[in-house]
Amino acid sequence: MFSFNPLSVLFLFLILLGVIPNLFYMSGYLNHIKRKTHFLINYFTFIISMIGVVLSNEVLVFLFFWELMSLTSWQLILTEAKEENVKAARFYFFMTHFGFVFILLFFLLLSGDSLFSDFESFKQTANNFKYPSLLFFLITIGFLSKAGVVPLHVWLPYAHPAAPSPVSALMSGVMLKVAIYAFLKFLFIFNHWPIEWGVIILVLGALSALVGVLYALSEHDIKALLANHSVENIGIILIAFGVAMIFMTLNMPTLSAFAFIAGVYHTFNHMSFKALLFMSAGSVLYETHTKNIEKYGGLIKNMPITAFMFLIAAISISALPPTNGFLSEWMIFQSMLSSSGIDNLALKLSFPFAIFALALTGGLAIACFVKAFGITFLGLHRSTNAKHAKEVNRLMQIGQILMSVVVISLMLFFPFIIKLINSSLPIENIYSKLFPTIWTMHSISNNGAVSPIYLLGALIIVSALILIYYKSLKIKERIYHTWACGYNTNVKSQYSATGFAGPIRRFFAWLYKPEIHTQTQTLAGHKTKFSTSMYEVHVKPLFEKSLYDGVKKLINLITLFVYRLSHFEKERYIVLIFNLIILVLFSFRVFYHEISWGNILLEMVVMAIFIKILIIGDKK
Amino acid sequence: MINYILSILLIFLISPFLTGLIKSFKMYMLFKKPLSPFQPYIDFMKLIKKEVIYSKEASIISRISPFLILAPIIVVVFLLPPIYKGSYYISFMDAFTITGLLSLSTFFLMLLGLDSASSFGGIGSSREAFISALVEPAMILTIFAVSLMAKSIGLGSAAINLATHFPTHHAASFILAGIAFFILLIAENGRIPVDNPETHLELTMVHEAMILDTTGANLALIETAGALKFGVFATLFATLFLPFGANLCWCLAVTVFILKLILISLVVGWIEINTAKLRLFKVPNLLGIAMIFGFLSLVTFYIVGV
Repeated sequence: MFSFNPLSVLFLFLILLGVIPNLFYMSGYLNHIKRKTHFLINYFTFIISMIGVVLSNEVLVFLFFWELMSLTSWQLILTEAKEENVKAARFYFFMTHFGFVFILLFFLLLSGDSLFSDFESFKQTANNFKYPSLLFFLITIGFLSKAGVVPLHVWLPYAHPAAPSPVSALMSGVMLKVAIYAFLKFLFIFNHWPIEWGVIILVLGALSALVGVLYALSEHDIKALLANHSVENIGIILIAFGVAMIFMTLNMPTLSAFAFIAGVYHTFNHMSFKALLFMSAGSVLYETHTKNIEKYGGLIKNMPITAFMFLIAAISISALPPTNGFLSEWMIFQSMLSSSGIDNLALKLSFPFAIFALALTGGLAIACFVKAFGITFLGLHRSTNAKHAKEVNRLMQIGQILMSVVVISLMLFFPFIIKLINSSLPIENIYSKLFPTIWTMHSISNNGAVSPIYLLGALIIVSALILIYYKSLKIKERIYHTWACGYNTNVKSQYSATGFAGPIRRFFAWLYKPEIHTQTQTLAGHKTKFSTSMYEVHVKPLFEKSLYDGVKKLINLITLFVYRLSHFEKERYIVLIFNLIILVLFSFRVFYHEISWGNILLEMVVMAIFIKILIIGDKK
Repeated sequence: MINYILSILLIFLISPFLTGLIKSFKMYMLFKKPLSPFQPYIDFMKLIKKEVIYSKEASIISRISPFLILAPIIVVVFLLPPIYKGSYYISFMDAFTITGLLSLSTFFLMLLGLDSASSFGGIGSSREAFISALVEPAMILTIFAVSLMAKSIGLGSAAINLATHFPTHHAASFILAGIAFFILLIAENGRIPVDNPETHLELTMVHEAMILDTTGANLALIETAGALKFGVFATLFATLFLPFGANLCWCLAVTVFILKLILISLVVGWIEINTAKLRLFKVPNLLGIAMIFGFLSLVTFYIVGV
C-alpha cells in the first residue's frame, strides 16, 4: 500500500521541513480564526493527505489521498466564508477536479484490470502503450494544473490568498511540490522521452516564469503577489526539468542529472522561502487586517522580526547571492549554458530564448520584491492600522524563525542536500563531479564554480572591515526631517506600490491592457471639450480573459445548441443518433488502426455533410 | 599572490580617478574650466569628516544599506580577471556570481531609496528597478556568448583564454558581444543616455534620486561603491573585450591596462558629450539593442560552429 522508495522519502522530508515550522505558526494564528474545530480538522487532514500522496504506492490509495488533499484545501479556503473566498473556492474546486479527470484517465489507462495494482507494474504497461504521448499529456495537464502552470494557473492567485496565512504557506510551499513530485514520479516510469516532451515542458516553464512574475508586479494584494510568484517559481522548476529531459533524450545523462538536481533543489528552496514569505505576509495581515499593500508602510519599526524574516526570504527568492535561491538558479543557468554541446542547431538556437526568459524573470523578481518589501516595511505608515501594528505573538515568531533557519540551512548545507537529491532520483550519480571539495560546487562543463560559504564569509568580513573603519571615524549623528526639496514628506507624497511598478506596467501595457475610461464633462447638460479619463489599474489576467472567458462562451453556445436540439421533433433525434453512430465508428477506426490523415479528412467531410443536411437542415 | 593583491589595490585606487577623469574630460570638451580628475578622492576625504544626518522616518535599512551596497562590489573586485599573465586569480567563482553580487548591491540601493519616505527616493528606486530588470537578460546573454567564445564561464580563465588564443573565426560574435557589454556598462553605471549622474532634476534622476537623503560618511561609502562599480565594469571590458597586452612583461602590461581603462573612460565621456539623456521609456530601446546584440552574438557563434 505504502512504499518508502527514495523519491517518496525525499519529498516526505520536504513536507516535514515545510510543516513543522508551520505548526508553530498555526498555533499562534489560531485565535484569529472563528471556526476552530473545522479549521483544525481540515488542517491536519490536509497535512496527512499530502504525506499520504507522497508515500502511496497503489492507484486507489494515491487517488484517495489526492482527492482528500484537494477537498481539505478547498474547505480550508472556505474557513472565512466571505463572498470572494467562496468564489475563489468554487474556482479552485472546479480546476482541481478538472485536473483530477486527467489523472483518473491516466490511471485507468495504465492500471489494467485492478485498481490496487502498484506503480511498479505501470512501467511495463506504459512502455508498451501505443501512444505514450497521450499518457504524457494526461500527466502534464493533470498534475501541472495542480502545480499552477500557465495556462492552467488562473485559479492559483485567487485560491492561495483566500486561505488563512498558515494554509497559504502550506498550499504554496508544500502542496504545489506534491504536484511536482507526482509529475516527476510518473515521468520516470517511461524509459524514453521523445524530444518534444522536453521542449514542451521547457516552453511551459519559460511561459509560467514570465507570466507569473509580470502579474505579480501589478498586484496590490500582498498574498496574491506571492501566489503569482509561486507560478513563476514553478516555471523555473519546469525550465530545469525541460532542459533535463532534452539532455536525457539526446543521451547526455550527466548534464541531464545536473539539470534534474537543479530543478529539485529549486523545489526545496521555493518551499522554504515561499512558506517564509507567506508567514511574514500573514503576520502583517494579522496585525493590520488588510491585504492591500498600499495600506502598509513603515512596519519595520513596529515588527522588526517579521520584517527581517521577510527580507531574508525576499533576498533568497530574488536569487541574489549567496542565498539558496541564487544557488539553484545558478545551477539552472549552468545547465542551460551546457546546451552548446547539442548537435542539433535548431534546438541549440532555441536555448537562448529560454535563457532570456529566465534572466528577465530574475530581473523582474528583484523589482517585485523591492516593491513588496519597500512599500510594506519602509517609509511612513500609510494607514492607522499600520500605525498601531505590533509585533506578532511569540509562537508566530518562532514559526518564522524556524522557517528562516530552513532557508539558511538549505544554503549552508547545500552539498548534503544535493547529495540527498542525487541519490533519491533515478539519475546518474554526479555528486563527486560537482563537489571535488565540499566548499565549492563545480558545473559539469564550462569551468563554472560557485561557493556560497566563501561568498557569505567574504561579504561578512568585508562589511565588518568597513564597519570597523566607519566606527574609527567617530562620526556624529543627527536625526532630522527627510529632505524633500522644500516640501514636507507625508503619507500621500511618498511612493505607492502602484507608482513603483508604474514604469514596468507601462512598458508591458500590451500584456496588462489596463482599462481607460474617458468621460466628456458636461456643463448644464451640454457637452464641453474637457474630458476626464479614469485609468483602471486593476488588470484582469490576459489568460483569464481570453482563454477562460472564451471557453465559457463556447460552452454557453454549445449548451444553447443542445437546448435547442432537445426541442426538436422525433426525426431529428433519430438523425442525431445516426450521426453519433457514425462518429463512434469513425473514431473507433482512428484509435485502433493506423491513422491516415486522408481518411480522417474524408470522414470529417462526411460528418459535416450529414450534420449539415440532417440536423441543421436547409435554410428556408 | 603579491601580484594579485597589488592589482586589486590598483583597481581600488584607480576607480575614483576614472570617474573623476570622465568629469574633467567632459568639462574640458565643453570649454569649462576642468576640475582635477582627483576630485573624487578629495570629496571622499571631505565627506567622511562630516556628520551623518538620518531622516526621522528612516529605519535600520538606512543604517545598514551603505555597507551592503559597498561590500558586494568590493567582493567583486577580488573576483576580477588577472591584469597580466601569471598573476593569481580566483577560480572558484564565475561570472553569474558577479552579476548576482552587483544585483545584491542594487537591491539594497533601491531599498535605501524607499526608506526615507521621500518621493524622490521612490522615483529613483522605481526607475532603477525598471532599468535593472531589463539589464539582467542582456547581461546574462552577453556573458553566455563570451563564455562560449572563451570556453570558460570563470572570468579569470576566460580572460586568459581570450588573451592567449583569441578566437579569430568568432570575431563577428566577439564584436557583437563587445557592443552589448559596452551598452550595459553605460546603463549599469548610470551614465548619460540612461541616467545623468550630474544633475539633480527630478526628470533625469535615477541613481542620484535614491541617495538624495544620504549624507556624510554614508554618502562617501555609496559614492565609492559607484566608482568601484565603474572600475569593475571597465576592468571587465578591458580584460575580456580588449584582450591584448596581458602577455607582456608586468610593467608594460599594467601600463597597457591603465591606458585601456583611460581609453574606456574617455569613450564614455565622449558619448556623454554627444548624446542627450534618453527619456525613461526610450531606455528599453537602448537595452533592447544590447539584448539583440547578445542574441546575435550567440546565434553567429552557433552558426559559425567551433
